[in-house]
Amino acid sequence: MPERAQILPGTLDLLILKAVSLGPLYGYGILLRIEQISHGALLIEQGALYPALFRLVRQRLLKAHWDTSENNRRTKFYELTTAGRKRLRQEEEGWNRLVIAIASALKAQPEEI
Amino acid sequence: MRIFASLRSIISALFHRSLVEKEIEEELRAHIQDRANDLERSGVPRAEAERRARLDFGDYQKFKEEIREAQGTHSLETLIQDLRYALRMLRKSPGFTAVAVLTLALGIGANTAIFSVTDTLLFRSLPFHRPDRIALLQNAIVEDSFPPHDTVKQFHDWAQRSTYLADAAVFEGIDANLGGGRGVVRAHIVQTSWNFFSVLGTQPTVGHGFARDDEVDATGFGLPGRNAVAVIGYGLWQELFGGDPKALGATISVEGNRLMVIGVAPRGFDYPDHCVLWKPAAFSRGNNGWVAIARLKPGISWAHARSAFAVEVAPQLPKPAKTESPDLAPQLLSLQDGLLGPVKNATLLLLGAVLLVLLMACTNVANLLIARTADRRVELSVRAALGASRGRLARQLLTECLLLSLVAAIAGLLAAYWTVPLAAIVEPPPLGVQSYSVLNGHVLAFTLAASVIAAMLFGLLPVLDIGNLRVLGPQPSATSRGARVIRQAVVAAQVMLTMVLLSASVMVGHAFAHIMSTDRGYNVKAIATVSVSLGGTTYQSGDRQLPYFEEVLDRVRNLAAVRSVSATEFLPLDARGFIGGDFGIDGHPAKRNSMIVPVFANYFQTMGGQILYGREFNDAEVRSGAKVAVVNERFAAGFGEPSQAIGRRLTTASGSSWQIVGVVKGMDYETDPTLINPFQVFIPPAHPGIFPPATFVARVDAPVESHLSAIRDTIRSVDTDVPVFGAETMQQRLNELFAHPRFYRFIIWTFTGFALLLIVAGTYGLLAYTVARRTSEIGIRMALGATRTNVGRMVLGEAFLTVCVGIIGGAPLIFWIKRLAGSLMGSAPGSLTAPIAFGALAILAVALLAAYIPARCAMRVDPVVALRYE
Repeated sequence: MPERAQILPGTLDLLILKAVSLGPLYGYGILLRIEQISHGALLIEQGALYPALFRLVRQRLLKAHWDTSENNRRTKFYELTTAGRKRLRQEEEGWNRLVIAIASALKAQPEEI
Repeated sequence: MRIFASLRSIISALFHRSLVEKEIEEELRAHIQDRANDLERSGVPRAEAERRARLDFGDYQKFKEEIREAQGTHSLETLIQDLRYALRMLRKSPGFTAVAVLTLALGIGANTAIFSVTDTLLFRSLPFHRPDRIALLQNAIVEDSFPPHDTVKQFHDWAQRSTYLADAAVFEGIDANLGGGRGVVRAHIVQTSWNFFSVLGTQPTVGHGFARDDEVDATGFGLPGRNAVAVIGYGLWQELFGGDPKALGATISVEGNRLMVIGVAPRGFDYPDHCVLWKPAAFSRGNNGWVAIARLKPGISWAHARSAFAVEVAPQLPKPAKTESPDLAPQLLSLQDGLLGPVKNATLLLLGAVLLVLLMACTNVANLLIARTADRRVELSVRAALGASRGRLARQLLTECLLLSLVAAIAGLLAAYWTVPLAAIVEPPPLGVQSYSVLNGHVLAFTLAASVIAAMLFGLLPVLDIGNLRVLGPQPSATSRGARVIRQAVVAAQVMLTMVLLSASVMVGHAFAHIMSTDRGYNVKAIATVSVSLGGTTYQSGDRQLPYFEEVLDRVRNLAAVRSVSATEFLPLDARGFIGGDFGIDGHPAKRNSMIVPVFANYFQTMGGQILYGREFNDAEVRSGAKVAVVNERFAAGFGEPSQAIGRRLTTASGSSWQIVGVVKGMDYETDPTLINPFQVFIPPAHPGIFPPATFVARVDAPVESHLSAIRDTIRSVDTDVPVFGAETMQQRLNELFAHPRFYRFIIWTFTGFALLLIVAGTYGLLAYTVARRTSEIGIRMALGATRTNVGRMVLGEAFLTVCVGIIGGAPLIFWIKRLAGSLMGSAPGSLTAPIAFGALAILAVALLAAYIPARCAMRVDPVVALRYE
């Protein structure tokens, strides 16, 4: 198992939006998807997923509906709304800017100052 | 839309709670199940897999709570939870709850009652068309020349030419005998210019108002069929005609003149002064009883109209200006303010005072709450340890405060509901359609706002106190400096406010005692008065009046309890519309106009007036219409030694003359000392024709009240068709005149009593609490050799210090309150030493009394018992 990083506060929402943007998913599926797309590098407190999901539904970024899953069980599926898609785009851009800024800051050498 | 959506989700979440709850469970369990399945598939044994899955998931209950919070049902549910909890807490300490609710209920109730009066008088608009544009030209017509109204044309031309008034109307209220139904009754009617109704924007509901040519230029009642017309009030219409529209065209007798009814005023319309009938005015020169109202021109602002009026009226004012109070100076007022007059300021002042009382109630409850919160530290810290945030605890406390306040508001509303009718007795609303009511939107909103704000006020300190809460370790003692200083400051603030109220009480009480004990030149205690009016009766004609009066005087004189009887056209203190005259002695005019009072024989003897020189009239002089007169000392002094006036001739510019037979001390015909006419002339009633309205005065044995009905019935027995009214003792008349000051005194005394009670509760609470908290400290002190006296002194010392700070802080405010008290009572109170000294001593006495029990408790502390607790 690779060394896992604790996720930054506030990034869980972004990860959820990203995971769901790739297709409707149910709760545990979202967790698996995040582990998959982050190559298992992120450590998520599993229960924390659900308050976040409910919050995103209330913010109308996700919508939820009950359906039958592949193993014929009643399951709650989440998918992105238009607002959610827009938010994901904004958050992605913001995140990338942040990463670049932090990275360049960290690369700074003493002679550059 | 967002709001609706979230509201819907909250409501559905509440109603389908069990369903939502089940779905959350289902979702979370599915997650753990899936996880366990995955782990099992990777080779973990089933039991171990399920254990690991639960562990990986984390704190199940915590996340479930977070989900609920995320769903938004949380706040409402918390509120319900908080409310239940608050109710339980309040029930658990009934003593505290009762004191707090009672204190607040009195505060809120008093505010509600006063506000309902203020609301009716000041904030609700008058029932006229665009009432905000109607002006009252206050006291403009003092000197009979402005606005010009010698003739109809003069007045209307003036109004039409005005640059700032669209139209203006004049009127004059008079008491008159009304006939038409059963017998003759006394009623208040008004004579108006023809456009009275159109200026107000009110039209009769039945029939029509006056026409332009209904007015007449003469002191008469108009011509039959042309201007002998009247609009009657709705009540009179019901009473005399049973609400029959055929009343139009019927005649009604006013002071014996027959007027034709042409209209009926709308229900409830009784402006001005609750009158029941309107008739066209007869314009004549020198009428100083007129009142003018006007409607502002469209687009003209009040400021503009006011200044334009001031400019127009200035050259008309007599020079030098009379020494009248500035309130009475001619000015343009909104009709609403004009209707209220000085009552407006008094009402606002009372509202301010009553808010002060509520503020004090709040501080007291805050004090009680701080003590209680401190007692609940253990409970609160346990809740904090179990995960309640500070915000959550603060919300809990505030909910308790709100609940207290709302319960108190309901009690207060009930109290106001019962007390407001009292206000209507002291200060009836100026218009019939107005009434003081508690159960209306404005007042209820005010009460709700007052109670919520009060809750925030008294909840603030205890909630701030939560900041000091520690979850672990020893609780900071409530006797810590900070908390104690706050509580002492609260008590000191109460003392300060009470100090102000107490001194106001003394000033007001002093001023009132002064008013009531002032020597007004006649005997107040032993006089009974009953009025009659002969207008429109069979005695109206001149030669029949005197026999009627003589018959009444004879019959009343023969009553067992009556010592002396006489009659006068108008009583002292009741000088409305008195006749003035340009009198002098031996042809030399006096410096100013004198008032002239027609009186019968034995008037001064009956009234207890003081005859300085000579004598008063006798029966023979009154009967023969002898030209004799009595003058007062001030008048006589203008012409030399007063005693020398006897035998000289009282003369007028027009050549009439009377022989002066007596000089008297004079009586106060006005209550305002600045308005009393210093020159008074008394003459026998003129012959023929005396005066339609007159008041009989009788000096009777005590108790005066018990003889009133006998005198009234005796007068009525002479002729039942003559209206007999106003059977009152002189003392009662005086009391009515000073009903306002009496009411203000009552209110201020009540407030002060309430404030003193609060001081007792506040001081007692502060000290009892400190003593309870410091029991062990006191124990140690005593173990170390402190005597009981030392301990008692320590506790009393704290009370003394706190109260002294309050007293010193309150003293400067008293200088300010002095002016207010003066304006309420209509006279300036004297020195401030007595009020301040009395206030300080009373508060000290009360506070030390309240401190006595805690001090005794402290002195009884047994060191052995006290120290065992630690």
